[in-house]
Formats: sequence, C-alpha cells, structure tokens
Amino acid sequence: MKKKPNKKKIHNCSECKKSCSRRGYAYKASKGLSESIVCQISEEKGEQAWMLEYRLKALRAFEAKKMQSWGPDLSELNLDELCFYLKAWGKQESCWQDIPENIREPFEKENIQNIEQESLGGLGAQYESEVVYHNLKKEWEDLGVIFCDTDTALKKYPELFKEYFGTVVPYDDNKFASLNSAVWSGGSFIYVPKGVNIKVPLQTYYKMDSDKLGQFERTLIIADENSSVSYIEGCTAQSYSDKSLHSAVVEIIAKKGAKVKYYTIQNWSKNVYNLVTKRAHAYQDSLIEWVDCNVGSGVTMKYPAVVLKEKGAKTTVWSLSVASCENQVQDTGAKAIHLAENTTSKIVSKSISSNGGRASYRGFIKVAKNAKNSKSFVQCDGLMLDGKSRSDAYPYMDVAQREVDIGHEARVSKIVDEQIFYLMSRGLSHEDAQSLIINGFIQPFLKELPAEYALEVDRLLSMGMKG
Amino acid sequence: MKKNFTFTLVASSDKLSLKKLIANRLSGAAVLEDLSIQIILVEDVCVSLVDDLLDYDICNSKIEVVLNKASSINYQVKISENKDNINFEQTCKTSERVLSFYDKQKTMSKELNFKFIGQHSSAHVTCSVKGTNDRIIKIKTIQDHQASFTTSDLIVKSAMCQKSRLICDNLIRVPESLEKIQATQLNKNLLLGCDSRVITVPKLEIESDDVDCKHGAAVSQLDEEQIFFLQSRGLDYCQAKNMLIEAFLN
Repeated sequence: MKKKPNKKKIHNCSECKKSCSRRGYAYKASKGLSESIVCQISEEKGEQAWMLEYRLKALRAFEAKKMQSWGPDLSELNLDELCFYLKAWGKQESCWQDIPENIREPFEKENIQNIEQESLGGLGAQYESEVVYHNLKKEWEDLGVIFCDTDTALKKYPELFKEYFGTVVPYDDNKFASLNSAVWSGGSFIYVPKGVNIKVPLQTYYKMDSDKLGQFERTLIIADENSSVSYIEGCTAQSYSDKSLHSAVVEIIAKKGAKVKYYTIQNWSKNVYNLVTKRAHAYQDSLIEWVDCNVGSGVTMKYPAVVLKEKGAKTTVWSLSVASCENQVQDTGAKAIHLAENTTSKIVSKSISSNGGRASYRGFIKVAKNAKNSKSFVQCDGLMLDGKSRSDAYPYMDVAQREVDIGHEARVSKIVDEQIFYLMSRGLSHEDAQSLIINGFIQPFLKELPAEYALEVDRLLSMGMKG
Repeated sequence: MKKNFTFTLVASSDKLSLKKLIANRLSGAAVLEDLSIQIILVEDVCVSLVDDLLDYDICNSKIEVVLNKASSINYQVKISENKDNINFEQTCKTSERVLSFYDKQKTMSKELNFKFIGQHSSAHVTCSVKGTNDRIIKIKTIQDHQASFTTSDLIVKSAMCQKSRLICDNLIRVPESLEKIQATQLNKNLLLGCDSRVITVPKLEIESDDVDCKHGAAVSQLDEEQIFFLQSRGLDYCQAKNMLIEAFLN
C-alpha cells in the first residue's frame, strides 16, 4: 500500500517564524528535505495529483542516487540546512508598481524595467522560489505566444504542459535533476506557435535574497515548427557566508525548422552552488544556440546539452567561464549528441582563471552509427592570469560513424609578455593592456550577446578581475 | 607472466628497439602477458627508441620513461597486425633466446607515462595504430611535467578498419610553480570500417600560468579526391586507399 504523505503545518520552528515575520514572507518551508516538505510545496501551489506523484517519484530517485564522485568537491553543501521553498509574496503582478517595494528594489537596481521597455518582448522576475512579475507584450500574445511562469502554465495549459514536461530531462536523469523535479518552483514556460518569429528576446530574471536557500526553477521552451525565439536568463544573489543552492532544469524542444537561442548571464554570489541541468531536443533542420556566461557562484557545474534527433539539426554553444577568486570552481562545458544524419555541432568555450580560481571544460561529443555526414567542431581556450589558478580540459569524443568530420582543439596559456609590452609601449598602463587582451580573448563570445548584455558582461568581468 | 624491466639508457646514435632490449635480458623462453617497463634517461643523453612490442602480439604494457636534466627522447610506437613488417623472429634468432607474447586476445592496452624530472628535458612521441578485425586497442598516455623548461609533443594517429575500436586517453599534467612548459598532444583518426569506432579523451590539467599547452583531436575518413587522383595515375582503388593509409600513419 502506498504511504500517504504526512501533511504538516508550515511554520513549525521558532527560527522560521522569527525570520518570516521579520521579512514578511508569505510562506517558508522548514529546512531540510523530506516527503512532507515536497507535499507541502505541492499543496501550497494547489497542484494536480499527477504532479505530486511526479514530485514524490523524483524525491525517491534523488534519495537513491549517490552524489557524483567526479568534478568539483560538493562536500560543503549541506542539504539539511537549506530551505527548499520560500514564497516571499503571495501574488504575481504584471505591473512593477503593484509589487511591494522591498521585493521590487533588488530588480530596480538591475535596471531591468527599462531594459524591458526598450528591448524585450516579455519579462519575468523570480524572487526566491516564486515568480513575482510576469509580462508579455500584447503583440506577441495576440500571435498565440505563451510566456508565463511554469506554475501558471501547469494550471492554465495542463495538456500542453503534460505533453512536454520531463521529456527532455527525465526525473531520474541525475541527482540534482531529481532534486529539482521533486521541489521545483517557478521558472518560465514558453510556447511559440507554428511560424511565429519573436524578433525581440524574452527574459526572466532570477534573484535570491535569503541565505541557506535553494532555488529550483524549471524552464520549458517549446518552439513549434518554423518558429523562432530568443530567451535570456539572468541570475544574481545577495552574498552570505552560508551556502545556498541553485539547481535549475531547463528543457527545450525545437521542432522542425525552429530556432531557439538561449542566453544565460550567471552572476550568483560566491556562496551559491550552481548545479544546473540544461538540455535541448533538436528536430529536423532546427537550430539550438546556447550562449552561456558564468561569472559568479562558488561552484558551477553546467553542461548545456543538445540531442540532435533528426536530420539537418544544428547546434552552437558559446561558453564563457570566469573563475576569479580563490576556491571558485567553474566546471562548465557542453554536450552534443548526434543521432541523425547531416547534423552539425559547434562548441566554443573560453575560460579565464585568476586569483586562485579553477576553470574546467568538460565536454562530450557522441556521433551515433547512423549519424552520417555529421560535423562537429570543438574549441576550448583557457587563459591563466596567475600561477595560483588552474585550468583543465576534459573533452570526450565517441565516434561510431566513419563519414563524419569531427575536430577538437584546446589550448591553455597565459597572456604573452610581448603583447603587454607592445601595448604599454603605446601608452597603456599594465592593467589596461591586460584588460584589452582579455577583451580580445572573449570577443567571439561577446559578439553573440545583444549589445547591452555584452557591455554588462564586460563590466562584470572587469569587476571580477579586480576581485 | 608478469615481468618488470628497468633500462637505463645512455647516448646512442642508432635507433634502439625495445623488443631487442627485452630479449637481451631474458635468459630463456618466456611468455609475457603483462609488461611493466621503466626507461631512465640519464643527464644529457639523446636517444631514439622504437617501441616494437606490439607489432602483432597482444599484451598489456605499461611503460614509464623518466627524463633527467637535458635529456631527450624520440619515442615511436607502431601498433598493427601486419605480420609482414615484423622482424621478431630474427631478433630471437640473433639473441638465441625465445621471446613470445600471448596473442589473439581481443583487447590490448598500452600505457605510456613520460615523467620530466630534469629541466630542459624533452620528448617527442609518435604513435601509429592500425586496427583490424574486432580488436579493441586502448592507449593511455601521460605527459607529466615535473620540472621547468620541459617540452613534450605527442601524436597519436590511427586508421581503424572493420570492427576495430580505439580508446585513446591522453593527459598533459603541469603542477604549480613551473615555468616555460610547452606540451602538445594531437590525436588524428581515420575511421575506415562501417563498424569501427574511436573514443578519444584528450585532457589538460594545468596549474601553472607560464605554459603553452594544447591538444587537438580529429576524426574523419579518407579523402575521395586523393583516392581518385591516385587512381588516375594507374593504381586501383584498394592500392590507392592503402597507400594513403600508409602515408597517413607514417
């Protein structure tokens, strides 16, 4: 007989109560992870029974899986100390002025309201575990585009949601995907109808303001045949000494002839573990582009993947990782799995390590036996700015088809003294010369970003370099 | 039989054969399954060594080359099942000893570890592999730079036919506080059989900044235009193909 989940009252510890009343949270789950917490989250969201069942199945998968033995050290991540669900405010608005000032303020600092007006087709803002703001411009709404938070999508479009949810990243894919599947909250849901090309990007901004918090958003993007969409994900967090966890799952489905471009600009604070699963399924003649910038977080493990399922599918991954302080680990990379003929993948990864940081590239290229005439090119460049830092590359290529063209190259080096000397002889200071060279190093990546974000990344980078 | 050997090499103008070196050490008949060999290069020597152990025999071998100050090695490995090329029998006759290996095992593995313990040492390693039938060939290499001003370059070339499979795991390791390290590794593969497969894992672990380390890997097939060119010069398709494979491997 199936055990009936125990539905406990929410605020059962005095510490939580104090914290909630001080900050005025609408809801905060007790720390630690259990079946009861998962049930509370589902109940609080008023979900259908199948979703609770799915969450509990994922929780069991999470408990059964061991922590991975490879990659960065995660021993300091204590899941028992984390709060897995925190609703700061009970509502969601489509007008910034209706949002309480204490929640609005961190977003205002990032100037995202102006960016929304000037250059976005729609914007979402997630604060702690829930999305507090969501808006899609009417012109796109009229064309049938759906852009809302994932919880709303589950309620408003249950059939569409159920058809695709968990199909790209199953609940038992890896330990942290299981964790996300058990306690997911927030994120974005995008559906682009057939033939609709959204010319301006959509964006969601993620903010963590509390310590010892886990943020587990779930993003699902479905681009129907011959449609196109660009989506930007921005992340920041308040800095604390206690560890927090961000473990998102992103699923993208690009149907025949569709184009999806997914940007990430990640600037979590250094106390955040950023352990993310991102994967896309690309069907016939579709194109998936990941543009992935990792500047913040203490430990990042992120390997955006694309499964090229049908002929003519293409993918490009642009990745930039900056490990700029001691003990910061950026373990990033990309995966491309060629399952059909005439598929193409290109991965360009740039990493910079300085001040004792460690940047690693971990990649995977698989060419299945029936992936005739596939092409893949991987380039990973590491730049080391001092002798305390570390740069690694762990690519893995498995090729089972002979009619292919596969190439990989990687290089780790420092800034050549002659280049610095040349620029200094032209009147630049040592610092400016170094910045100019770094800028040149990441230029191929910056070119892929929209202009305002390229400037932002450049600014983040120079702040990071200066510690 | 498991066997350990240690060779200390001094300067030699001739190409040394690893098979001959081992044959000279054995006092009688021996069947070798696992070999563990340490090759030490003393200071200021420059040698050229041909690793001809696996011309057709199948065994597991682990070879460590230790390079002292200002030493240099040119190391060549050739792995294939082409029995016409081997001079194994002659080697045995001249040394009047019998040396043989287990053969016809499906999987064979070779581990090459180049340890640079002296400054200004260098190694140039070329490894050519021809895989046939359903053979699985595992090659693991480590370029372990433990001293400054050291240089290494490794090239693994393979032509995999029929159902053969190559698993190539290459690592360049540079610990912290070293300077002027140059290390490269290149893995070029030709997939010639419908069921052949290559898995390549070139890795870099770099903890010093004053380095220039790079790796590259490529998988492709023979260029049909080159085959056509040779055919237009009177060669048949198979001859043209074999000529291009030999040119690629050598």
